[in-house]
Amino acid sequence: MNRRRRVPPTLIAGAVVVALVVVAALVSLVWTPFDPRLADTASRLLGPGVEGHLLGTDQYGRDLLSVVLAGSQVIVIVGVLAVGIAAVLGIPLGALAAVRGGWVGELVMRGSDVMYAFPAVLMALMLSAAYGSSTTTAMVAIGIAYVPVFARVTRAASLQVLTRDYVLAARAYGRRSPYIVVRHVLPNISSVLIVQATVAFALAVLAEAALSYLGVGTQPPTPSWGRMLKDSQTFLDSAPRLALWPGLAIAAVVLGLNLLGDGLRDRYDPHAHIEGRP
Amino acid sequence: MTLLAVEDLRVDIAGVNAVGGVSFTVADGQRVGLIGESGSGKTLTALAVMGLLPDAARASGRVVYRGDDLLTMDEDALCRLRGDRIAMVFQEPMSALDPVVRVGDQVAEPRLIHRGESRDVAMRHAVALLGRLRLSDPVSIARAYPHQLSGGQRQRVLIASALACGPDLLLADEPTSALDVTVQAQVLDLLRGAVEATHAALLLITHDLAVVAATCQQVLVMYGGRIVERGPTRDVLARPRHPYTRGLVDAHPNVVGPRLARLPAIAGSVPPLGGFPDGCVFRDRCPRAIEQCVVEPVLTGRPRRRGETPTRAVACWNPVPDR
Repeated sequence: MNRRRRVPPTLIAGAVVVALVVVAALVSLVWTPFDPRLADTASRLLGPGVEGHLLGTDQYGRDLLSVVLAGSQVIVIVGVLAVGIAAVLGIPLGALAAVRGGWVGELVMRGSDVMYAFPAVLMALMLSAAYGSSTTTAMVAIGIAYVPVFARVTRAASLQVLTRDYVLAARAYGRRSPYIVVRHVLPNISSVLIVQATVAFALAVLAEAALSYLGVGTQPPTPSWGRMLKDSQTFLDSAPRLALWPGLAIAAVVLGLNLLGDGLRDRYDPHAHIEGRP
Repeated sequence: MTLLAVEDLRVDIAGVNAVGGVSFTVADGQRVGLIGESGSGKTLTALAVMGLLPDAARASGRVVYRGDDLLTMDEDALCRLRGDRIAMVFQEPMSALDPVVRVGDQVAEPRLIHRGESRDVAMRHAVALLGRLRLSDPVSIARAYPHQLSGGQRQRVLIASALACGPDLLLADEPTSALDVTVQAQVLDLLRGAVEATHAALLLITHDLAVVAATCQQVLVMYGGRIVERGPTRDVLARPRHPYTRGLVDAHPNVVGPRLARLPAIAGSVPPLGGFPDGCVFRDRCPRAIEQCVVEPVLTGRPRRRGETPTRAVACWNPVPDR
């Protein structure tokens, strides 16, 4: 492999955007121009630049820039945890299906097909009916919905690695399957999994925004971009910027993550064809 | 003493017979060559001994190692033997090393598994072993990743990891075929030296007569999943009795002696699995085939002189006459 291959521009662009979001989330933890939760009826729907509000204020009188900045926290947390849940459950299941094959593998894969048939939104509606609407509910729902994606990708990539001579050699040293998976299979498919995680992160961001828009995700007063889109609907005529900024933020993050995923794939995994969820 | 006795080993892959009743023994410290073209079932025979046949393959017969049948042994017991008492060197030095694990760790692996040594101790042993295989600067080799090494270095690394626990029996599947000729000779010397030093037995699988001649005391000639001739290496190569062995020897260029304009070749090619004829598997390519060859010949001992105990055996109805 050519280790000095040029870094794809998509990788750089994606990394920059994603880094910006992470920085925004971290900064908003300690500082925002105004308190994003402070509703002030006296200063409702102020235009951009008025009274120091760079992007103006929303219908509750909150500083729009502060709310957008604070909204990035939810995105980062949801993305990390939803992908975490999906990976922690999906990767072992996929590896198990690859190593054991037979009825065990069949059971895991058909089970994941059934899961795959459930849209994340439906899962979230079910969970929020049972446990109430919250960021956690949305996160768990998205996480569970992406378990089959990780299981499939892990299984497909593992099956390939398991045919390699070094796996046979490890067995000839007297190693057993579970150790071989941890030591030889997972490290060799990590690039595929990292790319998959990036793509899943983008989809999780989108799913969280959709769920919050539907009212089963993040609840007020926690700022959330999906929620902001919904609340701005009534003011679409008078104050379109209320929808513009959170909408742009969502689009930018998803684009950034997709660029990053594509870039990583080009850089580290040029031959892999990954099944992604549409 | 007999270390390994393979008795009537058959391997079927997805219903197609690939190894059809192979029997041989390997004594303690003995070096045995298993020779044949690709597709003759050499590798499957070795994998059957290791218990590492692919999932689709079924083995029958017996593979007796120190009195225990490896084919009926449970996986736990096999895992304890593999890498410790019985080890294998694989053919492709490029692909038999994990690209993301440091070389030293891969050599140390068998000792971590079977000796329960700490990583430090196993690593020191690995470095020493790499040094004994005449790899210069074994410390930095141990720290390297496989892609940083040359083919010859990698093959030595594989040999080192197979020897890590000092096995009784080493199976080497075409250990030098992927290397260029000058490196081949070095690696072969090292392999032979290492086996002699540790008193291990060697089953060397190859298609190269010169490799067997340089390394092994006994030779088994395999064709179509059967052993067609067996005996002391020098004797078999000097006076082949089976027409197939004869063909192999004739097809090998002689360094000394008259140079032939054109090397004789064995007519036809190895048929695909399941495409071998009934009776003698070699009969449709054999220049000496007779009517009797529709019945499968049995590998039988043939004394060189009347009354002598046979050291050689050949499975042929019409063998090449002994000169």
